[in-house]
Amino acid sequence: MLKLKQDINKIKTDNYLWIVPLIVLCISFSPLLFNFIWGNHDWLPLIQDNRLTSGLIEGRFSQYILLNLLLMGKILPILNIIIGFFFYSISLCYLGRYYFKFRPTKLATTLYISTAASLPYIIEILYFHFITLSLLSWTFIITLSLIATQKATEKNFILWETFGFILLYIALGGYPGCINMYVTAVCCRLIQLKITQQLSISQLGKYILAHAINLILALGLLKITFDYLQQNHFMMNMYNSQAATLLELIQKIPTIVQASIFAFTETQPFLSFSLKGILSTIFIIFLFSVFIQTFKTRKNKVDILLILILILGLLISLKFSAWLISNNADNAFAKLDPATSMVRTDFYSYPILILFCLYFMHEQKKQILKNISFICAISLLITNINTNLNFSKTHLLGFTAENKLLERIINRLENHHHYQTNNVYTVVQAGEIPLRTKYYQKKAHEKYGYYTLNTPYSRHWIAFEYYNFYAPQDFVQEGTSIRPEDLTPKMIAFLSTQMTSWPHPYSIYVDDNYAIIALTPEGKELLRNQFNLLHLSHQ
Amino acid sequence: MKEFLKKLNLLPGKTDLKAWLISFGIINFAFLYHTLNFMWGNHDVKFIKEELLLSSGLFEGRFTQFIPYRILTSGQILPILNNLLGFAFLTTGLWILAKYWNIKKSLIGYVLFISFVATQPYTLSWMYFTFITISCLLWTLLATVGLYLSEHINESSYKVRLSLIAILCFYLTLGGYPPIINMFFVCLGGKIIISYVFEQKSLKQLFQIHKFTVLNIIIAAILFKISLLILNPNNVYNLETESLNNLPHKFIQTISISFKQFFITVPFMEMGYKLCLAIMSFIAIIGTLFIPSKATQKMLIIFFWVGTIWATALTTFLVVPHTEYVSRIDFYGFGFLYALTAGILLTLTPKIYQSFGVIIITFLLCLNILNDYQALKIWKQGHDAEFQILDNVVERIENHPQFNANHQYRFYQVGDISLRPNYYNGSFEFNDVFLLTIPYLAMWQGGNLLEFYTPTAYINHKLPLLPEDITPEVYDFFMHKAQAWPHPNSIYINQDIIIIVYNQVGLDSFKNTLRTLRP
Repeated sequence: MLKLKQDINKIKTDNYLWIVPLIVLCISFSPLLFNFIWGNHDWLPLIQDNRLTSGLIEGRFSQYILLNLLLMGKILPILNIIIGFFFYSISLCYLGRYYFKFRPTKLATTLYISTAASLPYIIEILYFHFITLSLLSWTFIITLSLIATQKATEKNFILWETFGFILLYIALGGYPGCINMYVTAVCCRLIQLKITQQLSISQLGKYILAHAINLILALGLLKITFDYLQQNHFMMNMYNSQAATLLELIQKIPTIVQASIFAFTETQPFLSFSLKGILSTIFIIFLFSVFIQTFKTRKNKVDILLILILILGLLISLKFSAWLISNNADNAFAKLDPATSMVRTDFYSYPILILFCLYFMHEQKKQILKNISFICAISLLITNINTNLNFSKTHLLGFTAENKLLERIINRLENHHHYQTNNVYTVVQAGEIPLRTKYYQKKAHEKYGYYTLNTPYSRHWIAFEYYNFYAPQDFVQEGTSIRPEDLTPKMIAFLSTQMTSWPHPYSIYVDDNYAIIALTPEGKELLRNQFNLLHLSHQ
Repeated sequence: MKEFLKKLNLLPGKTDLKAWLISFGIINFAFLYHTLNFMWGNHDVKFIKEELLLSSGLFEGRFTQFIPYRILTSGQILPILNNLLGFAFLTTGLWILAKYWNIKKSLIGYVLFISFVATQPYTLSWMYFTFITISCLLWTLLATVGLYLSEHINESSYKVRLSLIAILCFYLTLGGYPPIINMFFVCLGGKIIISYVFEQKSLKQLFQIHKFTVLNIIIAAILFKISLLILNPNNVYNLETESLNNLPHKFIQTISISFKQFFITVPFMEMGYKLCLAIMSFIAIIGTLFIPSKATQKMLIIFFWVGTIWATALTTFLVVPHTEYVSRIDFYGFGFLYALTAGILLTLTPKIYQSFGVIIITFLLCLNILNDYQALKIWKQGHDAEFQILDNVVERIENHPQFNANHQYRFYQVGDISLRPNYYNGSFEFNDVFLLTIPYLAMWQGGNLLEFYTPTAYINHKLPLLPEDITPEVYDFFMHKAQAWPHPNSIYINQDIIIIVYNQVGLDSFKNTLRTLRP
């Protein structure tokens, strides 16, 4: 009882350590908190609730558990993000204090957690509202799993191990990419134990075994779950369920290590050169201090080799999810490139690594390392806040611009002389116009930026969701294809010759069943080609 | 660093930190509606999308204006942070000012002083344009640091170092917004009054202490002038100084202006509010006259007060353009006179003055917040209304049969629409454009505004409307058919040009221009 009281008091004194990062996150993304902005998959989930089974289609069977428990499956402004931030802040706090067991000053702790928490890898998580809460909360579940597994090495092995395994399995069931956090944290902890506590190989082996059992069991059970869901047609055969073979895993090691290192210099929208520069500096100084410590305290070649293996393991763990994916995956996202550049999966590894590096440097005896760690953290925190607010501003302006465009398109449709108020149309939208890019000054050599910058708020294949969103009654039905039997001479004339891209008067066609919107020149050409094929086959 | 601050009595204690935090909270609350609703002025349109460069302010001689932005936000105008940083600087600046003036230290005193000064509606004038908010609020901090350090030079062993830092502070602020010179001398005048009345310093002592301040300001001003000569800015509307011949006449004129400021009303600072401020000021002034016993001393205090009040219009005295009753200039001038009188009331003895001070400043703080919220409500309504018109204009253009999004049009906006005044029913003697009437859809920003939210870029920003664009058809349209928005004939599009007529005044002026082109 006394012990429990002490534990509660300890947690109480740690309280403000996560409050500061939470405040930093809230300020960094305040334009998103106070302006309700949603991604292109959110239109329907905003109106309807997310049921527990909503994620089964892509195998994410636990994705909506927390959303249902906490918000009754609803996407609610402010709460959705702020609860996610709460879990994320508390997870980094607990990871540092109860897993890595660092005990620097309170100022340093709050600074390091705030810095790691606000790293702009989080921005991709904030694009889709329907998964924000769960994606952020997996960090907390994984932290609990890590702490439980660590506890298993000390006492009650089976109990704690089972607890750790269940938590990891639930987290992976929500988003398999969050495996990166687990393995990155484990590698960091092993390096820490080897350097600071000078554990022998056998002592480390016990540690590795406890975590490896959990990892293998959780991944194995996840694979079994996927197979079951696919066999029962709950789940599509998705890109994220196709795992690499053992041979592929070995072959991919050099590529994955290279990708992990390149990630320190490769720029993407909102992951600027200056940000990457600070991250690289932190990592290089961390490696330097690890090697200095290793050579200073050990002459044993086996120990040195072990440290090198652990660092190699750490580099693989940073891109662990990309390493596990099959080379023959059938989706563009699952190819090694861009899978190795996915900001969403990096979110689960790089902030953990940076948090660990800052703590590690701070724990060293040399004052200069503490000072460097402090300076790097402050400059990184300032860069993070600026970057996150710039992202929020771009998000806000892009969302406003695209919605204004949608309003103008709907006005044009409603004012069209063939438009009938009581008709329900199939809307064929040719092309998409992502407008966030208008408000972002793209630097040279920036790669990708799917959800962070380039994805539009309206996808052409779910046109019915957003065209109906503000309409007094649903006037668009699901589906985007034109049936050959519905082709009329007027539609044929429009599609074959008249069609011109928005905002030309001939960018819109309306008859009794269809509304065609030629939004972009590329979309228009694609639609025309599709029409020609359809027309030819019909003739 | 800690030792250095300790020596300067600038190491914040518990009361200071608490006062700072509470004041910062109150200031943010007063302007919360602005912080949460990202509104920007007509100069900001391009900068919101792009970024501010160090050189962006050079053309009008404001060569340091964007240094803070480059350092703090990499040149970005960022929602929320823009206000938060600005208010943090303002709060810190006012805390140093409280120390500089030796205002009686108490939590409530400091909180009231800082919050009251910062929430005056003058501050709103720095929030219309988001591209200068951080800089112009930071200048108050730098100016008070300069004044504070200059005061300590006399007794310090680091005379040169302190002087150099103070000169740098003054120079940076002058390079960012020259009318801050008002603040230098109002605050200095205030310090002299306070030192003479409360600290019983002799004239000789005052001269010994404050000669460094004047000297540093003069050196900074000379450096500022030299910098302007080197940079040779294109647009000197705000830098044109009076000739020596005119100064005597201007002196008399500015004395009158400076005293009239007590009663001249501007938007969101109406007569009732101004009277309350005047009552507070007069009681503080009279209170200082009761402290010394000799008539000569009383006369001297009156002289100091007159000098300080006159300093609130120093910019008006020095420059050719009319700068009187302009809120953004008064922010650095008359706003600090109110700060001085509030500070004196909170320090004066007997205690009845202090009690009265707490009551009236609390009351005025509430009025400040009410005025700020009223202003921000009106700003938001005006902003939304004007941008709604912009949306409609864009839609009308896109739907126009002559419009082709693949063309590059030369564009001209005839007149502009300012809708904030539509939502304001208060009365004022002098209009202040930054507080109320300047439009979001300004004429000269028409092209940038039109394309702000559109997917296509169809305006030729390099070429304006050309004389050869005024064909007989165009001439005839504007002379006989054109009407102001929202009439169908408010938009004219052919294969080369787009012209929008926003209001009748603009149309009449445009017609006159056309007549000169085709007499």
